[in-house]
Formats: sequence, C-alpha cells, structure tokens
Amino acid sequence: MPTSPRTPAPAPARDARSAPVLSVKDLEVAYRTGRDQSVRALRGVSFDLHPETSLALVGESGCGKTTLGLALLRLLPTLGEITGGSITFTGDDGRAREVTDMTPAQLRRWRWSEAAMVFQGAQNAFNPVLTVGAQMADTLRDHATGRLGRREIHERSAEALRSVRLEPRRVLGSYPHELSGGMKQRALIATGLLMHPRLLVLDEPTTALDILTQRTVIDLLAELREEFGFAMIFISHDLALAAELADRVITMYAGTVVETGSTADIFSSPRHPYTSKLINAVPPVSGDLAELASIPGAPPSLATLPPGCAFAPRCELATDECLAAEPPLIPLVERPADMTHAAACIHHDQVHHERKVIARA
Amino acid sequence: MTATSSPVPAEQAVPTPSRSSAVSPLRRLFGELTRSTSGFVGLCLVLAIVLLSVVGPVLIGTSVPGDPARAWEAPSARHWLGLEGAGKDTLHLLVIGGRTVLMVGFLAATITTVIAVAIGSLAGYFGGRFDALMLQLTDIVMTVPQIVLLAVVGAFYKLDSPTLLAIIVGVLSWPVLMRSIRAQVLSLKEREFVEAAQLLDVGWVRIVFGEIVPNMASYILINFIIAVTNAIYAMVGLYLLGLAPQRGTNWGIMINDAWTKGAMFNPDAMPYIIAPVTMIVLLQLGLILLTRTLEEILNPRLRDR
Amino acid sequence: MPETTGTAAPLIELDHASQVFHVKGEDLPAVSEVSLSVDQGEVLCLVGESGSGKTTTARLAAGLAAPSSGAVRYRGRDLAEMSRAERREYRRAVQYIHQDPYASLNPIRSVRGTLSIPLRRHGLARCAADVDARVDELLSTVDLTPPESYSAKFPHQLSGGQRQRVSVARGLTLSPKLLIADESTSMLDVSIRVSLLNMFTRLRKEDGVGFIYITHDLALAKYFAWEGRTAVMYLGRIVEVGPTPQIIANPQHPYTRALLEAVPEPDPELAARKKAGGGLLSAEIPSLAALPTGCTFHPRCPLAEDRCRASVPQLLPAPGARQDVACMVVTDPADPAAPAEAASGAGGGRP
Repeated sequence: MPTSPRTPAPAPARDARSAPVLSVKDLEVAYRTGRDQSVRALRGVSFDLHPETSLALVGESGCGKTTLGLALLRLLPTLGEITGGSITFTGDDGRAREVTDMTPAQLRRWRWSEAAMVFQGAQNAFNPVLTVGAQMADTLRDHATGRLGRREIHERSAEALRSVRLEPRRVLGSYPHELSGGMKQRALIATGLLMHPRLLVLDEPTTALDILTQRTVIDLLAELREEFGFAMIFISHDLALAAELADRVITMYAGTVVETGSTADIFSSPRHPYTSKLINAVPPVSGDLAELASIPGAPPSLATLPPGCAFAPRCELATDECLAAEPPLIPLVERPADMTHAAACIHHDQVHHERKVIARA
Repeated sequence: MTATSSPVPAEQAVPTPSRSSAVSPLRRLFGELTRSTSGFVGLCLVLAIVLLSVVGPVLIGTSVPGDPARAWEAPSARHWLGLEGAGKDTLHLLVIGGRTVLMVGFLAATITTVIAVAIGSLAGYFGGRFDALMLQLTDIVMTVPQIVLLAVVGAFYKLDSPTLLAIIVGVLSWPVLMRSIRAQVLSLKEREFVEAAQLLDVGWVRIVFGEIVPNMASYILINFIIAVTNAIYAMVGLYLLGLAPQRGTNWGIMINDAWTKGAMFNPDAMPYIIAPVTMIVLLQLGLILLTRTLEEILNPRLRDR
Repeated sequence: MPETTGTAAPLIELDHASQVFHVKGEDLPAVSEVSLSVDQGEVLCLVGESGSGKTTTARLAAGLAAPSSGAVRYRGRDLAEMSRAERREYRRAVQYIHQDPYASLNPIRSVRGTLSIPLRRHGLARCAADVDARVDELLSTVDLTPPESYSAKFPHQLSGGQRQRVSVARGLTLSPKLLIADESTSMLDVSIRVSLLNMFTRLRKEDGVGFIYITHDLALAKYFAWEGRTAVMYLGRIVEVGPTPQIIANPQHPYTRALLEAVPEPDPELAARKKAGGGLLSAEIPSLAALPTGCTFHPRCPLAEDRCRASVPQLLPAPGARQDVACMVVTDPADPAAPAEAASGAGGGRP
C-alpha cells in the first residue's frame, strides 16, 4: 500500500506498551425526547486512538459524528446522556483514567489541559462582545492547575496564536467580528491548543470556509500535529478532508460504526457500500470528469431505525439477509496499531468501488 | 428544534423526536397552554372575567333596582357585597360594569394595533419619504398629552360614549408600537425569503402583509394585550378623575362614585370600593400573566426550555 | 467579451457592469467592469473567494441590484429601460436561488403555501385543484417524492437538503429560462449538493434552463459546468474566463491555479501532492476599501513583477490557450524565455 508523505501510517515499530490516548468501548448515548422517551444516538461505538495519529469521523448529518465528538469530552447537551460503555483516556503520565466516571471538577481540569475541542462554526464559537485575548485568558484561568499571572496568561495566549501563524499583537485585542473567517478558525484552534492537549477534537474545522482558507487550515493542522504531536479526531461530512488529514477513517451511520480502516485502505477499496457512496459524492478536481452520484434517501430517524442493517433501505446490494439482523463489524484486512480494515456489511465482497468516467480531461 | 446552550447546532446534535406520536390537537393545545403555570392562571382569570362580564348581564339583566333607604348596607346573605349609596346591589353593578371596561380596552387596543402595524410595516418596508413623514407624525402624536386632550374634548363636547373614548385613546397611543414594528420590519425585509418573494413578483401588499407581518404575529399579539391593559388604565383613570361622562355603569364610574360620595369613610361601604378595584387588578394581572404563556408558545426559542 | 452564440441577443448579458457600494463614507467597488453572457440551456460558473464579487455579479444578473455603471440586458433589452410588461416577463424568466435554505423560506408558510403564492399571483393556477396538481408536479421535479408527504410540511420540519429543494421548486414555479444558484458557502452535505447539481443538469438538458452557478470550489465548477464556461473572479473583476475543461486542465491565471491547488482531493495520494497554501504568498484577501494598485492580485501573486503594481491588466486571450485571462505576465510575457510553460506546470495536478 503506497503511503503518502503527509499521512504517515504509524510505524509498527512504535513501542507496543504505548497505550492508546483514547480507548472507547461499546459507547452508548441516548437523548431524552420526552418525559420518558429517548432515542439511542450512539450504539456500541468502539475504537482506539493511538498517540500522534489522526482519525476522521465521516458520515452525513444526523449519523452521530458530532454526538460522538461531544460525548468523548463529556460535552453532550443537557438532554444527552452516556448510557453505557467506557471512554478511557491515558495521559502523558501513562495513567489511564475513565472519562465517564470523572466528577465535574476533574472534568474541568482534564478538558483543555489534556483534551480540547474546536467547535463547529468559527463564526459563532467566539463570544462577540469579548476580545479574543479575553476569551483565551478565560479558558486558561478556568482549566489551568494553579493560579496564573497576567503576564503568563498573555505569554501563553501569544505563543498559541503564533503557533497558528497569527500575529498576537493584532489578534489578542481584536473582537471576533474584526477577524476574517479563516483567522477566527485559526484563533479557535489556538484556543484549543493553549494548554498543549494530548487530544484535539475538531468538529467540521473547514466547513463554511473559502477554499483557499480551507487549504491554509488543512496545512496548518498537518503542521501543528507534527510540531505538538497531539492525537486528533476530526468530524467532517467532506471525505476530501479525511483524505487530506487522516491516518484512519471511521464511517458512521445511524449512530454506529459501519466501517473503519486506514485512510489508504478506505479510499482505495471501501468495503461498506455507504463509504463507497460517500466517496463517490465528492467531486475530484484533477483527472477525468467522473460521474457523481448522490445517496438516495436520507439517514433514518434514530427513533425509528429499520430492522437489520440500518443502511439497507438505501442500498442496492441489500438482500433479505440484511434485514434479518444488524451486521457486526467484520475484520477484513489485519493491520497493526488498530488500523484493521473492518466493515459492517455482509456483502462487503460485492462492493466494487470505482468512479464512472463521463468525459476525458 | 431544541435550543441548548451548547455551541453545537442543536439540529445536528439532538435528533428530533418522531412526529408520529399521535396526540390529539386539543390535548396539544392544553399542553401548550399549561406550559407556564402563571400564564395558565392568567388565562383562567381573563376568561372568567370576560365570561362574567359578557354572560352575567344577559342572565341577571342590566337594570338594577335601587332603594335609597337602604344606602350603604353591609354585606348580607342576599347582597354578598352589600348595597351602594343609592341602595343598589354592589355585586349586580360589578357584573354589569365590566362590559364597558372590556369593550373600551379591546376596541382601543385594536385601533392602536391596526394603525401601528399598518403604518409601521409600510414605513419600514418602503422607507424614504413616507417613512420620514410617518416618523414626524409619531413625534407629533407622542407629544399630545392624552389626559389633557380628553379633558379638553370632554369640556367642549359631550364625550358621552365609551366608544368615542376608546377611539381617542386608540388613536393617540399607536406611536410606540409603530416604531418597534417599523424596526422589526427593517430587519425582516432583509431576510432572504422576502427577497425570494420580490423575485417572484408577488406584489408589495402580499410581501408586507403576507410574508413579513405574519412573522411578527406573536409580537403583535403580545403588544395587543399590553395595549388592552394600557387602555383600561387610561380609561379608569379618566373616570376616576371625573374627566369622562359619569353615565351608565362601569368599574371606573363605581370607583369615582365611591370617591365622590365619601364611601371611603364608611366601613360598611368598603366592598363598594374594593370590589371594582379588585376586578380591575385581577383583569390586568390576568392579561399580563397571559402574555407570558403566549410568549412561550409563540417564541420557539423559549419553547423548549 | 465572451462570444455570444448565434445572432439573437443572449438571454442575459452583463456589459461592463460595475457595482459600487457606499459604506460609512467609503466606496467599495464590489464589481468592476464585468462582462459576461449566458444563453438558454447554457451554464456559467462564477468562482472565487468571498469578497470576490461573484454574489454581487449574480445579483446584478438577477435584477436584485442595479449596476452603478454599465448595463444588464435581458434578450438585448437593458433592464433599466424596460417597460412594465417587459420587466414582468424578465422577472418570470430569471430566478435566483439563495444559498441559505434556512433563511430563504418563510418559516410561517407550508411548502404548499410557499409554492402556491406565485402560481396564483401569476395566474398559472386558477383553482385549488390546479394549484395542487402544479405543486405536486414541482415537488416531483425536485425529487421530493411522494409530494403528498411534503406539501403540508413547514420549513422547520424539513432537513437542510429538503429545504433547498423547496427553494428550487419555488424558483421553478414561473417556469424560468435562467436559474441563478448561489452556493458560495454551502453547508449542505456533499451528497445533497451533488443531488442538487444532478437535478440542475437535468433541468438544463431537458427543459433548456440556463444556469449561473456560484461556488468557491472549482471541483464543483468542473462537475457542473463541464459543457459550459467558468469565470474566475477576484476582488470584483473576472481574472480568467473560458470553457470549463480548459480552466481546470490548463489554468493560466496564478489565482486560478491557486484555487485549483487548494481544492481538497478525495484521494489520499493526490492530496499528499498538493502545494501548501495553494502556492500563494498570503492567505488573506485584501479589503475592497483599500485595493492594491495595478493588478489587485499582485500582493498574493507568486509571479508578480514590477509592472503589475503599476497598471491594471486587461482580459485578453491567453497565448496558446482557449480562454481569456487578465494577467500581463501570462498574456504579454516580458521575458520570452518564460512563457505559459511556467504556468501549466503547477496546474491541475495532472498533465
């Protein structure tokens, strides 16, 4: 498998004892929808994330990507609740901690200092009436262990801004509306990186940005990862972003993992029809003109999941067997460091991934 | 949609509950109305007072026999609230005295709201010279002191109909609402759905009154109720000061009557003062509480707290 | 500038149209001297960053704004000189589809209500049965099937993609000849965007509807306008325009090349070959209030020369290519040793 220079597969030689930063087992999340009603938003999600690797969570809106990202940092909205499974976080000290058991005080210390999130929508994630500097200082004060002096706060904010190629003197005193969309997104990433976390979760980091700004954010994230060596999870509906930044891809559908594998495996031979269709919906700019096909229908409502495989109603490979039971993740290609390619599809050998060429370039 | 304080768009994070759950519309309405307890109390108060004032007179008649010999009689089993200065039953007067108050309140509020919405939305939508002219007009109307004008009108003409009173109050109190309607239209008309309607060439009447104004329905309704309370206070104030004709029976006249006849100083006559004051206070309280429920039902951002 | 097909006047034509906004005492030239035309069944993509003037240009074509100078013509008639009847005909023929499906539908109106108003207003449906039939037909056209399950819904009960379809259906109520679709910052899922584009292509081929499509993503332009033209805009000016395959495979202007470089590829191998920052010197687009002198692109341009700071380049045919380009370094190479070869090397990712 040819690996690209920018997305190095983690060397198998990596110390076998180096535990995953994050180990998620059978995670279940439910949202309350009424007095005694709830829907299962995540169903049995499991994966390991190794240090300094990047993972892309892909899927359409409403497939549970954002819910998973929020659940990992225990940031679910009030109606959401982790109902089962475990999230184990291993810090720099090698001590494993159970995120689902953390008290609010422990969470506060853990978030931002060890695991940070960059929220969707650079336009709205900052408070419009406070300067960027004030908001970064708040984050530092809230999450740092011990008291920080004004000087130190300023220095650390400035350093974080410099790391995202922003000029601290200009940005710290600015209000969010005085910055362009790309600068705001970079300032948000800087806020996430303030305390050098081991894990950074980014929700749609490039959506709603111009293409050139997207490019700078993609390049920046790739550079920052080399510089700071954090593990990264990013949530995106755009498969192209995964191809650019991820070592590994997890496809989510109806609140569960339907395919997982290294980026190279997923893009060269997706084994779940949903992943294949998602890839084929993204227009490539180079090469011949290929036909793009949308995925018919919409993701199912989590409240009324179809029987068996949740994707069956939208799948042309579906047979009676698919309706009988929800297929488990079937390991297909064994790879080290939790990069095993697995798909939750009993017809995985019938998924022939290719783009139909309409016109030659 | 669910509103949460999290920075994540709620639509994506929280799956919308299935709409298949069949709830009868009546039960849904009841659920909406009882969403806020105080609002529901308000609604009940208003409904009770309206019912009493509209149906009551039909049942017990509008003519109240009086026996001056029994003036200021204390409450008894026959006359729950006692008798007033002319020996008439206070409770009976109370029941028939609500109609005018409600009529003046609602008529004045209707006039105010219609003028404010019409002028405000047109001025906001078209802007330019019409807008400037209308703003001038609001300035002029706002400087007219209502009470003084009513006193003058009352002195020169026979201000003997509550309807006329309602019209005067209504015509004088629209500017404030007009300005806020205008401000809202200024922002609504920039919304893309308005531009879409312009593109489809559906005409300005449709755009202003079909696309823009309905989006302010909740705001207008709540302001209508506030206008009702304002009009009732204005009217009762006028009666109390004796600036409006003391003809017929209503709660304002009852208070004025009690005042001028010195009922204050007669312990037995207390119900005659307290009763109309209580009715007015309860009605106003009910209306104000009702706006709370309306706000919660009509404002989707408050809805899912 | 762009050659008009046939002898008849094109459906819509912008002739040296400019738009200057006055904001807080400053003049912001949002669009400068833009000329373009689209005929029935044709497709033109306007590509550029936000602030490039592509949306303003589209709004000029849609008659949502009047140009400060220059002209916008529908079938050869200047919009500014139209009679009432002509204006009505134009209004029915050219429709604009807003980019934000969450803002472009009136929240208080059902789908049926949204679609029936223009139908009734323009006498396209006389009775309730007519309206129902036409609404169903429109909903089927935009793939909202079965129509019965959508017509009674309100916008908040629909997903973003479904709203966008209703928005398109509304644009189609008057059977327009030209649809202008603004998707410059679309937040829709990739799959939904593709299905909308496929639907547009069907409308273009089957009903001869012309399209002006606004995007910041050249990959979408390539897909949608392969048989048409693409115009790349920068700070209010067209910097490159020509047949889409030419623009994609053989870009001439350094800005077009940067945009192509920047597009994320859905292929890890190709993605790894992308140049950092699209090869530009700066990621930030200058403000319209303080435009650089000469060629406004020169502060970000890797090819900039001294003369680029001095004079504004004209849109001229590029030597050895089939498109027009506004770059002196390309159209008038001072140094004959460095012609367009330097340009084509970076473009497209593939030969």
